[in-house]
Amino acid sequence: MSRARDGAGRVQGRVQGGVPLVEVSGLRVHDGDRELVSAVDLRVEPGDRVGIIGESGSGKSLTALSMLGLLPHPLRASGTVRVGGTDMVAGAGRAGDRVRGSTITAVFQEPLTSLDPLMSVGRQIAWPLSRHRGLRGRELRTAVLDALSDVRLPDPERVARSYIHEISGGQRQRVAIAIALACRPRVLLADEPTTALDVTVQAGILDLLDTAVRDRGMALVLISHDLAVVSRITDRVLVMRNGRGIEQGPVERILTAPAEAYTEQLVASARALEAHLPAPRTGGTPGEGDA
Amino acid sequence: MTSAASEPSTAPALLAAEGVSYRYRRAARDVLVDVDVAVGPGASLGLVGESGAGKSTLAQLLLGLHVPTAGRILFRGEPLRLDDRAARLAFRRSVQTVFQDPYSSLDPRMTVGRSVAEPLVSLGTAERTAEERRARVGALLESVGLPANAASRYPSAFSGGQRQRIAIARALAPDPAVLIADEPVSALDMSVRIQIVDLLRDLAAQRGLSLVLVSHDLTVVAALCENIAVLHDGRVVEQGATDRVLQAPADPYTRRLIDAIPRLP
Repeated sequence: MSRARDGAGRVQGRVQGGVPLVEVSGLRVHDGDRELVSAVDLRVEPGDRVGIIGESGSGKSLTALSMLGLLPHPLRASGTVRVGGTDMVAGAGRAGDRVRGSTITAVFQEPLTSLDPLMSVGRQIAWPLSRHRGLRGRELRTAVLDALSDVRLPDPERVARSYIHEISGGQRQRVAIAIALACRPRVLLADEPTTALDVTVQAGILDLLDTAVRDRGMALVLISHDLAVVSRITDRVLVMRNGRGIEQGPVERILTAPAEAYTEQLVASARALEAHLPAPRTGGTPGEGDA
Repeated sequence: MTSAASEPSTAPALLAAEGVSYRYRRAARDVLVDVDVAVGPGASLGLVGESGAGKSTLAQLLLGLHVPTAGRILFRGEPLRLDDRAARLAFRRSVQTVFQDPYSSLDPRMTVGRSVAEPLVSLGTAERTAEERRARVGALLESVGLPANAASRYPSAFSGGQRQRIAIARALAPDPAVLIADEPVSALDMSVRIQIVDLLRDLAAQRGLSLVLVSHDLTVVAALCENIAVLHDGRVVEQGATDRVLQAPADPYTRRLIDAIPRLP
């Protein structure tokens, strides 16, 4: 299908004979009588990298929350959402708890609101490690420091002792990613993970997501309003508009031969703005610096 | 001030910062250090940089909302005087602003017409009667691509892009010479963003307006501004013609900023 790019390290793929990691079909999200999401279908197999692109109000974040079984009250989902075989529509509560963390974890836009300001970074990472992997004592401590160096945070000892107001925005998002990766999930769902960050910091975080997912053979669902961001680290894209999934396909095809007029307009807008920039330099990976 | 010494400007500056430093009260260090930037009549200047670079503070100094700790702001070659009421009003009529978030910059309890007319009233422009103001508001709304009857509705009836058009109409109300826009499209979706960029470019050209655009997004600055000043840690690390700076950045930070922009394959 869409395993364009390089395929290295993540082709162990479809071993489980037909059970997709994430299966969304006919998803609808209701707010009373209002339907906010009306027809979304998405399959994610192990090792897939899928982008969901759309503008504000397109329903992309509600789709993400439905996958996590975390729609805020009073919103309700209907249709099929299965993660690792568990029904996230019916079992949003307890059953979902077993899936969230072990099968699917998430990183959100704003680490300032997703992290706990009153708990040290180390303790926030220790919590999922002890809960999902049963680690204690020295083992736990080592795992915490490993998790921090895995996301390329300098001086893990110091960061572990810090509180989030003591570290930069990019470092906070790295901590959020470390927490998400700590339980070794099979899918990482990242909802606008770089939107609140400076562009040079963004480049570093995208890089990190790219390699973290590849090294672990995980699947990635990346939600963004930015086509360039999505196309940088995913292979397949779902385009959403007004609560509907209007088109889905390999990144290359979506960019070069979109089937929907809306997608075409989205691509044209992005290209039109980009046309004002000089052609990118080839070679050299940008943004290893992360203040 | 390495490469900041740039090309000499041809036209005399309309609005300029000269050796400007600024420190917020009780802050440990200056957020701006010895900054020189200028925009000529009908010209456009982009102030780019990342968070904490000082670009919004510089915009606020150019708007006369703060007074520099060192250096001075010059308007039409004269040091800015905010203590004199007449001079202050004249300056406010001439230098207007648009902010990032049209959801918070428009009063939700005021009709669009009242919001747009507000500067006409508070700055004492030529429109004296309600009738004159109504006609002016209608013309302003049409100039930003909205129907004149939008005046009778409330901001909640409009989308983000439309609200930003309303904010632009309000800024244009006193017929300013300079428009300072602080991240005017950052809160907007991509397809709307490009419409607002086009609108700003057209309005600036039609009205001979000088534009100072603050943005973290080099792409938007590249689309709108002839000149660019790159700020990093409160200093202008590089400035000059946008084409030249983007094609051949002299400062390593500028280079890094350009390389970090995610591109479509």
